[in-house]
Amino acid sequence: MISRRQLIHRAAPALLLPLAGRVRAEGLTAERKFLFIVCNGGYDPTFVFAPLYDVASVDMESDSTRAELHGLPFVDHADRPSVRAFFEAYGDRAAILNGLESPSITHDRCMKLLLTGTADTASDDWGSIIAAHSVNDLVLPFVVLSGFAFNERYASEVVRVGPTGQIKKLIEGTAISDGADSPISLLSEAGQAEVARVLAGRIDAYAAAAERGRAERFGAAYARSHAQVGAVLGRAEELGIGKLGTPASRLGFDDFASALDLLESGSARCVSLSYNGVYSMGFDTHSFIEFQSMHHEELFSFLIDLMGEMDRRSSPTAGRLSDEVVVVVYSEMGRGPLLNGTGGKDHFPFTSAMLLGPGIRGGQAVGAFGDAAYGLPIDFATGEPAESGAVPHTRDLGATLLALADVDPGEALDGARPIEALFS
Amino acid sequence: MRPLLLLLLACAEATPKPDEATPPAAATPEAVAPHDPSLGLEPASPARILRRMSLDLRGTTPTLEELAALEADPSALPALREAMLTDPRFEERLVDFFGEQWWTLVDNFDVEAYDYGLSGSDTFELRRAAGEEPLRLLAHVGARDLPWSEIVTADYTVANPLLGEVWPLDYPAGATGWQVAPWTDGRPHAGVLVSNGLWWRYRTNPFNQNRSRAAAIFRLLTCTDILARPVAFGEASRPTSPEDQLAAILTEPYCVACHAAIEPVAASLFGFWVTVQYSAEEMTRYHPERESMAAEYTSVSNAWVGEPVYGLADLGLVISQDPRFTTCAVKTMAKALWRREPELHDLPTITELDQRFRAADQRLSALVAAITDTPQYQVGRLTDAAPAEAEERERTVSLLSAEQLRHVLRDLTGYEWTRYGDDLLQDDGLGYRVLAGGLNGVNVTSPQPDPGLTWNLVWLRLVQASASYVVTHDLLTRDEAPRLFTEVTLEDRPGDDAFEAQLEDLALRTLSRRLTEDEAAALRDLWTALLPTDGPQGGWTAVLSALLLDPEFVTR
Repeated sequence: MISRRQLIHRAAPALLLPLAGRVRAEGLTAERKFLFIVCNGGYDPTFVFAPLYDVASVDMESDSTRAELHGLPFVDHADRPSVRAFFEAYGDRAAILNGLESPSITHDRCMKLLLTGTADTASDDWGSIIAAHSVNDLVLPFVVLSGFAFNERYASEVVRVGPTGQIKKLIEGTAISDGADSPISLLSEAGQAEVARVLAGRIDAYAAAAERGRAERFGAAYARSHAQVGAVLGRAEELGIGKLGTPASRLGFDDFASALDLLESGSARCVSLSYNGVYSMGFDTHSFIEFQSMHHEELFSFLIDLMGEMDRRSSPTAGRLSDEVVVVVYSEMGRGPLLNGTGGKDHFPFTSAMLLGPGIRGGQAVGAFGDAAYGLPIDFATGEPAESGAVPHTRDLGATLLALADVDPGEALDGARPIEALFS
Repeated sequence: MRPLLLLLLACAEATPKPDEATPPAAATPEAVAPHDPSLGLEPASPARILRRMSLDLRGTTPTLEELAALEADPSALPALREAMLTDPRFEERLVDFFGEQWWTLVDNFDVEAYDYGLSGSDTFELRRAAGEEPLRLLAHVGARDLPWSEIVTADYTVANPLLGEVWPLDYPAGATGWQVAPWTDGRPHAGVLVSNGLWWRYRTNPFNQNRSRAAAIFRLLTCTDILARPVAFGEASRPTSPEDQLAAILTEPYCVACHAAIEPVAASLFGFWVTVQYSAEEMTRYHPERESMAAEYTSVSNAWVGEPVYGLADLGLVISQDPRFTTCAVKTMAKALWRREPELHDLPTITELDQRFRAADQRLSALVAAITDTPQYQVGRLTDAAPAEAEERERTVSLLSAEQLRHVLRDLTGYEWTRYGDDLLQDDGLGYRVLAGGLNGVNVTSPQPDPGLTWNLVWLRLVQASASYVVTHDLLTRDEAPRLFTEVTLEDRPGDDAFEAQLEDLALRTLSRRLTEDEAAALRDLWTALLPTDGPQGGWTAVLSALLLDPEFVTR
């Protein structure tokens, strides 16, 4: 966890120097970035990640088969050509974590467990913790394009953009005038700048005099966000948010395109988005399990586009964007091993996740499901089932992500261990 | 009043140190948990506590008269608070407080305006009205000092004309606004337990069979969050098939621990069972004939933690007699006012508050008054005696909620940020609710604790607009009674009595204290700098903007 002193030290320079210059590539130090793709509703691992044909009490999809590409086992089906195509192209970079435990069966609770490793009310998600530990003073540390975010200590790291890209209107200054019932004439730009200057002095004085506790924390956060505002006004395009809310389909899935714009610009370290399946129906298939197939096919077609684009685009501090960005695909829960009476599967506390990118040893599946798709204990060093091991918990996944981000997992998580078998 | 103010109000400090006054400002002879120096919680200054109470209980800052009264007599705080508790705005704030924890103010329901033949322009109003309905019932009971048990026993709900039109309600003919309205579809008399808005928010399906609704009842009415408990299965008895899972609910020890409580309550809710998903007709009406369907779906009888109940009305009555019910009301209001979760070390305070609440016949205003007397509420700074963990825990300051910002800006400036009549700070589709630090009841379920970029952008734009709006109305068009600029004209300049009086008034209305000389000089300089480009109205717009963006203004 960042100490109070560290937080203040981060904020203080922001008061003295404009952040504006730091959004340019030359000001940035290379570090791993993260794109979190949350598949909403609880996907069924047996449709791609977990070929459990030899496991008792698991209903596998008919006509599906076990396949392997680049050493990576997966579930193949003629209706999902994009899955095969994805693993053909990128299986050597992808690692699958099976048997991941998210010990609840309600969506909200599982989502919190997935993103924070705990059900505690006050906790921070992986994105905000990683963003808070960036070596760069980023203007948009952790951008939440859509979906859940859980924040307490690091709430000021989170940048929400609004479901229709409202942040762009806020930056451009059209949020008030655009369609509002009471048109307003605002101060001249020079006037606004003068107010900002006076305010900076006030915030500076407040932060400097703030006593220990919440006043100190608030002062530091306000100082930082005020500096961020100064850095973003009028610069939406440069920061990678100029196309937010653009209705035309870009890169198959607009949020993927927006995420890459942000990461490519160097303005963000972490981006999170929610993928809700075909027609945004979600993965919560208590009936019509066939929708899992459709959702996965679409997801992987988008992932092919995403990876291709990441190979094509440049990172501000490395070569290809794909050399710097860790992609995490996960879902808050799994689905029960057997079909229910209406042709679906119900909630289940064991699931799978997929990681790709720098620091990840691709071409492997780590962890395992046992009978009835319950997660098996594994040796975290090898990823192989081991009686003396532990079932990987969402907090262990979190510890893995933090370690990849050069954050000491012990600072944020008690008793969690990185799954070293995933590391290259 | 002005000369009196000038005489009475001592010049406060500029920074978060205005709380150096050590005596407990608002402590009364009846104060709960009097300030104990060993805890390290030093109360804020009387003016800051008054401001905190005013923002919490009315959603706006204290008036000049209230500040003067307090300065003249620090013991006036309880009387000032009493007036706030009878202010109509208190009921609105209760809606806000409960909305933060009941999560019913969502942007999507399974029923939309067109299902009722309403126009698309009614969409937002219907969503908000449906989400507010259970909160309005809570606020109605709370603001009128009715026994809190009425929230689960009332033979009515509280509705607005739109709900009166589309729901089976006896909304009073010719009335406007939120009114008491009995249901007309035969649903039991059980207050929020028979609320459409609550069960639209907490949905169920054929697989869940009201269990999520039962869990919501436990969380909201007893503060027992069953869903927070980890799900674990014994190695020897892991269910595989859906049938096994259903059986395990009643037999597997790991499951029974929660489901023994959940199932009998879920069985009580089948009057809200729908046979056609997404059907407005199905979801709008209660179905008394379906109450017995529980027997078909489950093998348990209606009960509340082991005590048999006979329908929802009985369930409400039994819940109201559960000791956890009043304790939960205490915890809920303490969380709302302390701006944090009550923790284990708060238990003595919670226990005492609970006793007082019961002794006061479960009157919410008595509870709220008692909570505002606690050290946890009044804390302004930590002394050396405070343990390290208090730095994160105790809200010596806290960011105003999105609702508080909306209320206070509207009250001070009259500005309403609307589009097609919809309040842009209250929704997320077109608007900016979550971006302003609010919650949407679905994937954002707690207020933003600290400023971030997006919050700052929303507040900046809103302040720019509202400052310009009030200056235009008060100083240029003068088409109605001035709200803030009561002392000055566009002809007055720095140094003029009217200018200086206006500057002081603005500081008092926004920060609830007088400016230091340095601060006043900085604002005069700002005004002067704007004069050539934006005129005197621009100068005042800038001055007011700086005050509304001030760290002390956006905190409480």
